[in-house]
Amino acid sequence: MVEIRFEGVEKRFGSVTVIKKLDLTIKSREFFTFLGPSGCGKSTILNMIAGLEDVTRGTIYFDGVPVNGLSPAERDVAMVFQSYALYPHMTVYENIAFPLRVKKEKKERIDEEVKRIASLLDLESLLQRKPKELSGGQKQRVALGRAIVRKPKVFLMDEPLSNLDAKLRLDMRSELKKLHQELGITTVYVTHDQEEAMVLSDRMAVLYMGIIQQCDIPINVYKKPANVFVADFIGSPPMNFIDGSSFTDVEPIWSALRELDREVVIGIRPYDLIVSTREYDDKFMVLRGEVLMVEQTGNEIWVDGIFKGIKIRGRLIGEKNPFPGESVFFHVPFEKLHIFDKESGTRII
Amino acid sequence: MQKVQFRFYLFLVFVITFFAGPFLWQVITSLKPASELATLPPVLPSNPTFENYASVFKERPFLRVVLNSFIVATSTAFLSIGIGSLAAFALAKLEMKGKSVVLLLVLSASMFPSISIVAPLFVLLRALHLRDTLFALIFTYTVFALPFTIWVLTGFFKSIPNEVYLASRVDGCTVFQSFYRIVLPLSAPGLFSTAILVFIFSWNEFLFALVFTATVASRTAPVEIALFPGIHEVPWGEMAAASVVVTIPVVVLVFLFRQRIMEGIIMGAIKG
Repeated sequence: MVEIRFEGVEKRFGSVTVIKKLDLTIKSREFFTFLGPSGCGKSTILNMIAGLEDVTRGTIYFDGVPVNGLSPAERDVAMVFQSYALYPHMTVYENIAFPLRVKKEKKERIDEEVKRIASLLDLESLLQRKPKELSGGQKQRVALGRAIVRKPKVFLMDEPLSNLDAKLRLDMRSELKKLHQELGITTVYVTHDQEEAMVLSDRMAVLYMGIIQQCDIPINVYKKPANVFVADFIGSPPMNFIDGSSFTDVEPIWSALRELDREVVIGIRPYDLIVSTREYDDKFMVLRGEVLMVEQTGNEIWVDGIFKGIKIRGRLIGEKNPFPGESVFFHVPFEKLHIFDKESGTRII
Repeated sequence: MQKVQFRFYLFLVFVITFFAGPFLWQVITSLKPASELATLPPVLPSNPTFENYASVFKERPFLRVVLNSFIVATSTAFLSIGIGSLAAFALAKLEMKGKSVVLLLVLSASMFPSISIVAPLFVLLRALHLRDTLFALIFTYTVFALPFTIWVLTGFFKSIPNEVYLASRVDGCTVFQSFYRIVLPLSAPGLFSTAILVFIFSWNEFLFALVFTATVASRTAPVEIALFPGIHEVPWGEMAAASVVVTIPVVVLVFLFRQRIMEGIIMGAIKG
């Protein structure tokens, strides 16, 4: 299994810099995710690891060996694409066997391996079909099979689940996780879906404008987002952001903020902001607001309100729905506040 | 409803008559004895004869000429697909600077009317001692078919999703392996229809064949038929018979591969 190290890696297309100075080590056997909005450069990173795209500057190492000049074949990586990219003119069997055939493996061994993969991924009954006769989930499994059949050093996945419907996506997600645990192959995963990233990854990097905004284990990224971008991008529904100056009459926060002596933005996750018609005790910071609308999403009830002209969203527990226009209290425990520098957007507390 | 159908069939009959009529006339003429050649309307003679066909093959070196045509057309088709597909692959899938310039240059090369370069080409071929050889024709036709081939195939190759090509590269293929294991099989319909069109083009070509050939050694069928008329008579019957013989391979080709050709044309239309 391979450790992947980026050293000052930069990628430019013409005059546009897509990846700016990437320094990062992906550990051996790790499930590592690049998470970011579309166009942030995450697929480019994957293509550079695969050798499908050149590195403009810097070096990529596999286990300390530079791979910049190596072709995809020499790097021994496997990749699963968003569109599955199965070979339409080959059967499922031939698709899975393809990487081994290219390597000129013996026929009997190929047959053995294909059958093993087919049973692992529950594809035995489909081996003689062509890709166009398969459903989305089946195609996905064939693509996975084709990738793992030759036991690559690195496993790359470019949004492999985004073409599946919601339920299937959950199934495949746990299948991916299981597969990684069984095979222990270093896996680099790219997605724009924060939930996928949170569930699957050992570590993840949030990417924006070609720069890693934060790189950590998922729970830390969620609990201690490094800056306003990460805080906004991770978590659903998205975090409330309130300018520090709106807290002039909310004690004891205001005195604490004054001590910091800089302009700040305070972030509160809707999940942590509890709505009630009565005021809780002083372990909470309390914002007095007016209800705009109530949204019920199955197990949670979200309350949109207005606090000093700013729209905020909180969570209702155990109380009956308030009316629009009703005056309510939004409570948040102090330790759940995220305080960011207003100018740079980086986290202070 | 009935009326619409009737009109449709009427239109169909008209179209078929328009396209197939002359050919049918040709077939009928080829079956007539010399005495009935000029009768109008051109109906099937009372006693059809295969004399014309027999004399085309017996009294003239027609078999040799048809064979020449076949060698030239097949070689041209293979050569232009071989060279054209490599060029088109590079233009469609490989990273390369100035792709559109190359495509435009290729296109502009095909804009010269053949009459304007037949003389210089003749001089060139004579200097190379290639006059009156099959190779001279194959070479010329390939050069002329290549722009078309490259353009059409570039379109076909571009319609293959890039991710499929990239997947094959990651799966361990060299660039050339990706080309012949993935890209070529996936564009089989396109290759077929292009090859057939090139074949037909070379099969029918007249001007170059007339100028560059001198003897039966390299003469192709269209030229030979044009040379049938003697000083005193024009053997219409034999010319008709020869023309029918020459048309048959094309018709057979198109019928055999009509599914493929249609696929090719439709594929190009939707995705290209």
